[in-house]
Amino acid sequence: MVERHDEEKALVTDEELDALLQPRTVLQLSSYEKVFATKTPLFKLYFYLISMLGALYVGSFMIGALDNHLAFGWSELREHHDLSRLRFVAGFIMLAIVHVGLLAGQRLETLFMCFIGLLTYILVSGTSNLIALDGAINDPWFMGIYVSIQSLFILLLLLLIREERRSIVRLWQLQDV
Amino acid sequence: MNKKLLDAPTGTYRFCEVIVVVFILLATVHTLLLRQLGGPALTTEDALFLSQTLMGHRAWLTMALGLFYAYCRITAKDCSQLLTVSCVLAWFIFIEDTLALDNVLFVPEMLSGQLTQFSRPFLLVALTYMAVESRRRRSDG
Repeated sequence: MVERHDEEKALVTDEELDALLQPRTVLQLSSYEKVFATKTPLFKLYFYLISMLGALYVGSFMIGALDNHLAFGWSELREHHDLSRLRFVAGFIMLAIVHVGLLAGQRLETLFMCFIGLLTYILVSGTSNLIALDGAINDPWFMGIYVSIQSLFILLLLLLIREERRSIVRLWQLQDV
Repeated sequence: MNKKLLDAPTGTYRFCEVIVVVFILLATVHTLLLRQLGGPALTTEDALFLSQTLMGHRAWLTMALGLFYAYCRITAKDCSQLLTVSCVLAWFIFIEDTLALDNVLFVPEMLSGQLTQFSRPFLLVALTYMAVESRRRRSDG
């Protein structure tokens, strides 16, 4: 008798069953307007800047405009070409991940740090590759521009981390009010 | 000794730390041996050039990250972000070696090269576990 009573209690109602059978959205993306409303204006500026520069840089590589200016342009090693291609694909994926992360409302600090780590590695190994190639190191203008472009992305990511922290503080202050 | 340091890791985490330390030692020894042997060990010109420009920096990077981690552990600082960055870098370099460099830096004739290559998947799994575990511990407070 007691067992039957427990079974009846354990039955799921139609409403509950409907709720359980509803498909769950794993990733819910917001809009840029909503997301940027919680960020500082500088975050928005840096974000647009890094997205635009990143897209330009990757796009230039895709159409072959950078071929003569990267390590394989000087060394003509197949490995250098493959390495550059992989790194630019990684750059494109990083850009996509940052946008998805932002729209998903995730905290981006760790993501930015990971990308700083990757870009620093790419900068150091890319520069050392060029230094080892006589032609490249003898062209200080080229080396300067190469290092500046790479460093600019790292700098923008550092600034984005600072603005991300400020955005969180600002959000807490707004919630307190 | 700091109490937090003694309390912190689980047995699995400590085991993963051992794997990471072993890999760092193997990678450093292998790089030093390659530097010394250079020409005879690396059969192609491309491999020789790439080893001179890439492997040295990687060894420095690995040691720097390892030392920074050791410092964080000794001083009981939060190392979850450092581990996450290291994990992403390790996976990226692994993909780079496999897809772009066709393992050109791998020297099967050298025991240190074989051991480094063999222990690499273990390093990747260990680092990933450590990163996830440290983030979980941080979010648990």
